[in-house]
Amino acid sequence: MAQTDVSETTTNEPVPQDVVMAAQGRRLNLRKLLVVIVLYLAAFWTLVPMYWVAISSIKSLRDLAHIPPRFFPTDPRLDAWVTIFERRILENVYNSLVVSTLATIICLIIAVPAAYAATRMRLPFKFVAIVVGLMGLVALLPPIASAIPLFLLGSDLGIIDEKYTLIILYTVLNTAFAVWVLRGTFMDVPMDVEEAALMDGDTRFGAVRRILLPLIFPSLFSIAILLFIFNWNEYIIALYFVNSMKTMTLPIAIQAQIPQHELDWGVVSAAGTIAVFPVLVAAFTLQRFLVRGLTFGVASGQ
Amino acid sequence: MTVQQTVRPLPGQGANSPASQPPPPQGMWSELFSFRDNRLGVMLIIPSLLTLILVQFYPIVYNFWLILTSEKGEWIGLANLSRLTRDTIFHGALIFSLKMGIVVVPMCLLVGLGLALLVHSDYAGRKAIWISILIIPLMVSEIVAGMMWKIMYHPTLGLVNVPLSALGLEPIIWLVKADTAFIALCVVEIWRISPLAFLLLYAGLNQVPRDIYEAAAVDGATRWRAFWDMTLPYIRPMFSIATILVFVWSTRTIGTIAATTQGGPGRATWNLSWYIYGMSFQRLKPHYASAAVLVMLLMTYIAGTIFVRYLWVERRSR
Repeated sequence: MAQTDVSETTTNEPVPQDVVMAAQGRRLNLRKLLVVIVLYLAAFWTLVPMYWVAISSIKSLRDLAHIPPRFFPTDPRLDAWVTIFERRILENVYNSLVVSTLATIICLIIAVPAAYAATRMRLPFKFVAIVVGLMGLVALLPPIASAIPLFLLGSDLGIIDEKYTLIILYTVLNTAFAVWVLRGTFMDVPMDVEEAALMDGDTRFGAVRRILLPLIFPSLFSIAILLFIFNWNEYIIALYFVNSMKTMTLPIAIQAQIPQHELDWGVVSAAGTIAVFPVLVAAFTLQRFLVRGLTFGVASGQ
Repeated sequence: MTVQQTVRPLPGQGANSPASQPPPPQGMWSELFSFRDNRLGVMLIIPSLLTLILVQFYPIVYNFWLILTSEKGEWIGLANLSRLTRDTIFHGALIFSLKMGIVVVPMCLLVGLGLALLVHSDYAGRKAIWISILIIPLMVSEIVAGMMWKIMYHPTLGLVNVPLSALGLEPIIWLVKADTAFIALCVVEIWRISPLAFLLLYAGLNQVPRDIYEAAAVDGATRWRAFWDMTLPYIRPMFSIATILVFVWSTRTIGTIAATTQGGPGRATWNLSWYIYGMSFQRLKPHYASAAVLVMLLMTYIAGTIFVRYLWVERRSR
């Protein structure tokens, strides 16, 4: 990270001068210890539900019934995993993968040119301002607000419960957000190099392909992962548009597995573990991009 | 709308200009209106515009038509809306959403600010790892988050009751009573959304120039004063954004409720989204539910207007 050497004055508490004089070294260590302890607690708070779900999926029935609950399984079993595969969870994973991946790719295909035009071409200022501003606003709208009209439209057209419907909807629901984020990314890249290439007689497309795209590729990759995770997690639209195993995505499958009262939690825990796995990968991949984007581009409205 | 009046740097020049650069002199604006490659540019934007029309403008317009007609499609004017104002279930859902916002927003901001300050401080080594861990809940699906916490709250399987029984207290069956279910759901939402506040505020802290602290140290300012007088004003815009986004996120939640309480006990944990879903999909009254959608849109619109104003105006005026 770029910010490793931040001045220590950013910490919250005041430091009495005399104490600093007396035992600065010891006090610094104490402070560091406190900060690290709180951070470990925060990490525990963040991770413990995930850990709990993961181990619940391999607990034996006896461990599940044990009171108080055991933090470590004594007799790990894979019964729940066998059951969840018997319940054809792989089909749900496949549906989720297909829908999320295709929707992400199509979304980028639509959004990248728009972001390019909004940042790199001389368009009437008001036009761009209105379009981009609306897109920013639209990214805030709750998906449930569009769900009813889209559902009624889908029923009229007879395209409920089709994978391609989900792909189309996920694509369009994310486009505004994608344009908005991509615009920030494009603005981070200086235009000089591109302009030089254009001066040298390169075509606009050539300049984009050879110069701009390689430069923004890391960000583009991060945005693709972000969109993928949005789609992978999408729940509300799927609630309306999924009716059968043919289209059932993972979030809906998980909901269907939640038992109301019994002790049958192993199975849904296994499904939840599957659903969370890409999220862990994404969090580690994305953190740099998110912090940088929020600090310099995306949310600063440059 | 505020969007139209907002100031924006020149397209194609924003890249080179640092954020703090003053707006270019008026004469340069005319340059923008050379329509050289407008046609290509507009063509590149049109597909995205079409998606906007399909998912946003069409639904909003259609929503109004839905509100003004009965379930059979007959024109009934404002009857749906007036029925909504007398609907006690709707009142309950609206109050629940707002109540949850009142609890969740300050808590998320507090947790987020605290963690952002800690991670931003010198003492946190390996910031990348802390950030990665702390933002994980942000990327967990609502329904999965709800499911995880349903296990956590489970009277025998769950971890939440372990400390209670260790203290010799009776285990609480969290999701069964209205008041404990509310607390339980608030905790889930704080777990899920405070990373958003953390991320935004951490980014805000990164924007604070470091030399102002050196200047303050020379002036003999304490850390507390430095934080209060310099850090806070600097992250104020980010703070507003975080407030609004956290509010919007907490009101739109539906998966956590679907996974944990299903709106129960009774209708104690119906929020706006759940109400809309229940009315439209389970009770098959999409026209009536659209009236509630309108209320939700209004709430988002108010929050969104503030959001856009901060994003577009705040930075330029600095």
